[in-house]
Amino acid sequence: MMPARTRAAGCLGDLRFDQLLAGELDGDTRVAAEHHIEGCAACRQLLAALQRDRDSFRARRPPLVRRGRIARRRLTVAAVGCLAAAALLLVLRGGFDRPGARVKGGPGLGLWVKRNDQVWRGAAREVVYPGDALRFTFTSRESGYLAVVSRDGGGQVNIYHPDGTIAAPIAAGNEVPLPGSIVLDQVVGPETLYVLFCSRPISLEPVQRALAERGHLADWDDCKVGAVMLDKREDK
Amino acid sequence: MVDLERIYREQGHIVLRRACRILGDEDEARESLQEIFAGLLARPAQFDGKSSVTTWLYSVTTHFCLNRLRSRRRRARLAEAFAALSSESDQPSDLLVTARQLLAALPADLAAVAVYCWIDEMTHDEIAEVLHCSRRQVGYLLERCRDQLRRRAA
Repeated sequence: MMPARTRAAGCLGDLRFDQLLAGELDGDTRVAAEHHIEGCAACRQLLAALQRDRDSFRARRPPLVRRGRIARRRLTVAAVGCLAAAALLLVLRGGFDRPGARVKGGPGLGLWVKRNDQVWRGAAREVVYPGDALRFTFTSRESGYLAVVSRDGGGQVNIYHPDGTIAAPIAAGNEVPLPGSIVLDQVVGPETLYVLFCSRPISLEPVQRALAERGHLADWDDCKVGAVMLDKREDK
Repeated sequence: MVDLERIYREQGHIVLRRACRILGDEDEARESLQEIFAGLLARPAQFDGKSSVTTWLYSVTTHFCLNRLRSRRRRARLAEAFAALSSESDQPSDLLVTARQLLAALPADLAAVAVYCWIDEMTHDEIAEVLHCSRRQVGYLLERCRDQLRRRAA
């Protein structure tokens, strides 16, 4: 959280700083603001803090969920029945898995899709559309740290789970639901979900950078990694 | 048409930071960020282009967070704030604390100006810019705000 401050007379406020950083100040106002900042250590510090705050947000790239309320509602997984015996969407072995492959006892990701009032279990290469809500479950015999990272058809990398930049603890269990759900945005094309099941709480920012640079993720230290693709199409 | 997804990527930090300051809770601020942009995506015509994008984001964030404060079930804190007001001084820092605690109880127009003045520390000119009103009107609203706070403490 940005610290509160008491604005000194003559100094700039957050509104002017934000407008300056967004390039919205006109010529004279911008020149006056920049001139003041040059001569004011407090304003230089605050500007630097606001820039760091902005850069941190852009680097995290929290996904824009189109329907915030849906993201906070739990999909009623229990209402569609406990399908413990059903195939998992993706089973992790330590590298890429064949979508839909099953390994007895292996940790694995389950997917539920909600469209309008219908909910069903998703499969590899599931056809999805903007506005669909996705909910994940995870099955493992041991506890660990879990992350689900997505690379969409536009090359954008988002962290779907957890809501933060550190892999989150996950207890051992069968079809343990991950909190919240993801509502898909308008970007279409193949979207690849990367699941990292790790022995420690790894930072996800390096994962995001690596995935953005390389376009894929085969392995990661201290983690089992798996990938599965969804076929995201334009809603007609 | 305004590119809301680009605005989210490039200026979403402004909404998150201000929501954090107004609500005083990071989790709630993150949720508010999503709900504010979800609402904007559903009705993109809300941005009429009369102000800068930043000014517009300030306004929508303030209104959303104030509505959120009003729906909070924390009436006990208001009672504490009323008690604090009975020994208030005119020092800005005291008014800042009490303004934040009483925002949910103030009328919408006064709550907004209280946020801009005591949480954002804006000048009257800057508040006038965000509210699209005159500087004199801002002074009038702030005086009404102070009157309301004092009356509630009496």
